[in-house]
Amino acid sequence: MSTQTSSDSSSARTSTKSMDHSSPLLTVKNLVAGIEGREILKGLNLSINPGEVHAIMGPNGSGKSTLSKVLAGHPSYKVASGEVLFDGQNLLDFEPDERARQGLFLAFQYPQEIPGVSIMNFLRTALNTRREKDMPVLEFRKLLQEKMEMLEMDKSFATRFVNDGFSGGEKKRNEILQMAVLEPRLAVLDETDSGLDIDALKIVASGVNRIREESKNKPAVLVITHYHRILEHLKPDFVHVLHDGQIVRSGTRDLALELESLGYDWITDSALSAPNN
Amino acid sequence: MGNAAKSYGEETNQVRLGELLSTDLISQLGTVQLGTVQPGAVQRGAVQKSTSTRLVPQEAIKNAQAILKKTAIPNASHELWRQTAPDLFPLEALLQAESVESRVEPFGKNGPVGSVNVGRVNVGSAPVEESELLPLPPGVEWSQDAKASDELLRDVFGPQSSDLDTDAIAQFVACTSRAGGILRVKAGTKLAVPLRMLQWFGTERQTTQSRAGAPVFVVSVESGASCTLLEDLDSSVFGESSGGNFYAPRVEVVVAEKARCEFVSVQRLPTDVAYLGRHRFHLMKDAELRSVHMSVGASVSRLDLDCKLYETGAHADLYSLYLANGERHVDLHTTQRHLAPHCRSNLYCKGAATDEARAVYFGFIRVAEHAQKTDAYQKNRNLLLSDSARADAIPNLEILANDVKCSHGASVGQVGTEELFYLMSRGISRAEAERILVQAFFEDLVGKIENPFVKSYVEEVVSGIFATVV
Repeated sequence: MSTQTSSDSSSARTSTKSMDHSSPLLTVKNLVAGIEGREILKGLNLSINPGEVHAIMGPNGSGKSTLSKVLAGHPSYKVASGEVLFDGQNLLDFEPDERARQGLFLAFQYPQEIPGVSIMNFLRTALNTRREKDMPVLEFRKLLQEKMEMLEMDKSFATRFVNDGFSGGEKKRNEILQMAVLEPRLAVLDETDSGLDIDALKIVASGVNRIREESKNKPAVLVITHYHRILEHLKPDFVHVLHDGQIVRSGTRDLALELESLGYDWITDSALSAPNN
Repeated sequence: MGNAAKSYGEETNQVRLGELLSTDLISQLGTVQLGTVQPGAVQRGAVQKSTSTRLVPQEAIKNAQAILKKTAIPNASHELWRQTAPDLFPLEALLQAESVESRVEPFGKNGPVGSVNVGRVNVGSAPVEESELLPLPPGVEWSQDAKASDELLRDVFGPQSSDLDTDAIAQFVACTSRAGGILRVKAGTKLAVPLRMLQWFGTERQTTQSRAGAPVFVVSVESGASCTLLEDLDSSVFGESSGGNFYAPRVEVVVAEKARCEFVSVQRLPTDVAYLGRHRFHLMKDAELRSVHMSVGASVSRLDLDCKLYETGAHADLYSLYLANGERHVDLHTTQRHLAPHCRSNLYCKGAATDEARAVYFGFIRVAEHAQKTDAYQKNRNLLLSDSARADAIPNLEILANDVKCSHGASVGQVGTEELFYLMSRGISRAEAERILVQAFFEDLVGKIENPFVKSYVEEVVSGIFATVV
């Protein structure tokens, strides 16, 4: 199994999905982090190869969202110890904007409303930070329109203010639109499925799949979720169970199915008797 | 008196208004043109010929004189003047306001594309650029003929102004007012082109004379009519003036039954002018008002915005933006007066303060006892952009009815951490993200302007000002 939770996992990986790259895209080693003096992640280990899809599941309060915020560099979250390597570089040394330009993308669980900034201007500015020369307006419009069509978003969204007055589903769709335009190397989807009905979930999930198929460099995806539902569409290569700030179990998609039928108690009880499998 | 008085400006040593306003002088206000008031040598009643119109009716002036005789000009301890001291305004300059004039043509600078200029008030004699004068659209009338609009004026300055009876400064300004105009949009007229009222403050190089004016504008949007009106306060500055300039316009807008008015105001006076504006909106049955105010100019700026919902079904959306930068002092006072059942008012104002500046918001929702089913909302947000800037938000509710929906909220804060993080998480640098968020703070309200011509005009004005601030 390629993504062990132990700190030596990267050397032990045998995944066939990452034959074209010899080193992992993301390596998290013994990460201890929290917010307002509370320790939430208590020695988390994780390794993701380029192009892979990983899922992290776990009960409320297990540290799922903390992980996503720490990776993206939210200023309220503090890292006490441990290491995060992104493409071999120490990710924690960088500001949130630098991390993004290196190819990390976070689809927020609760996307921020920014009245006064149109989606068009926002995304063009964001895209141009990754380019030597600004993309011409017309070319950008065309690109945005394509991506919006893919996500079945109405054209009028382009001129609307970012997330301002959006429904929960529209906000999530807008996150994936940003992923489509910015083409990250690793996208962390933080409960992107929550608040979506079955149809919207399908559109969003197939959007993510198409982004992966159409990108020059197939992005890796880290899906953070409570439910199995989105995983049926995204088909993760690996599933991890997060409990009390640690990954207590890793496996293939079957693990998600097991969780679905047996609940977290099953895994957390066994975790207590045999931590880190 | 006179020489011993405190000075409010750096170079002037003018007498205080309170000391000047003898019973004798009060009696002459609004009846004859007063002579120039010079420091140390007060000449009273030196009559000068004036061609300027007076729109405030005689009864209103008499009433004001009576109030002024028994009510002192307030000082900073007065409830309504606590945040902005009256002596920040060179009120006495209005006693020498002979340089104000109203004209119909020609106009300085073009307004929004497709707009029609209705009238101009000129303060000072600085030259202005001329622009094309288009004929007024059918159904629109601009005049300075007080007699022809006698009933309207007596109503607006009479019973509908009784709430100003305790405000001595408002009474003084009313007495000294001259120039302005009456705009009528006749019943049933639906206007697509915006109408523009220009107020031009010319400041000349090396002038020793301060400029002052208190014009009056009365707008009547008659039943079933609809229009967009732009009040454009602009200026030409030719070098430094000696200061002491003062501008105190009063705008009264009556929106009649089932009429609709979009009122946009842009105040960008230069920093050698103190501005004391009073805007009052009177809404009748099922009338609709959307107002967007931009206060971005003047050294000291205070706008009193009063919206009265007189009859059922009236609905007002009131948006305001104020920017305080440099050492400016900017004050917005608002009142939403619900005087009838089933009316709605929604006020949203935003202020930004930077450098050493100070911004003040003071708002009231007043609901009369019989104004049941009122739906009133008041929201104020302030953005502090420097450590030495200051913003105060003072929201108030006075609700006498028992079946109403009223809420208010006010906040003062910096650029939001979460918004900043969201933008940065997409690769945008901190400095750029901050700039975007401050601009967004402004754009949000500019976006409330419905008329596309006025909107893009104001967008341009605001982004120009914005570029110099952030």
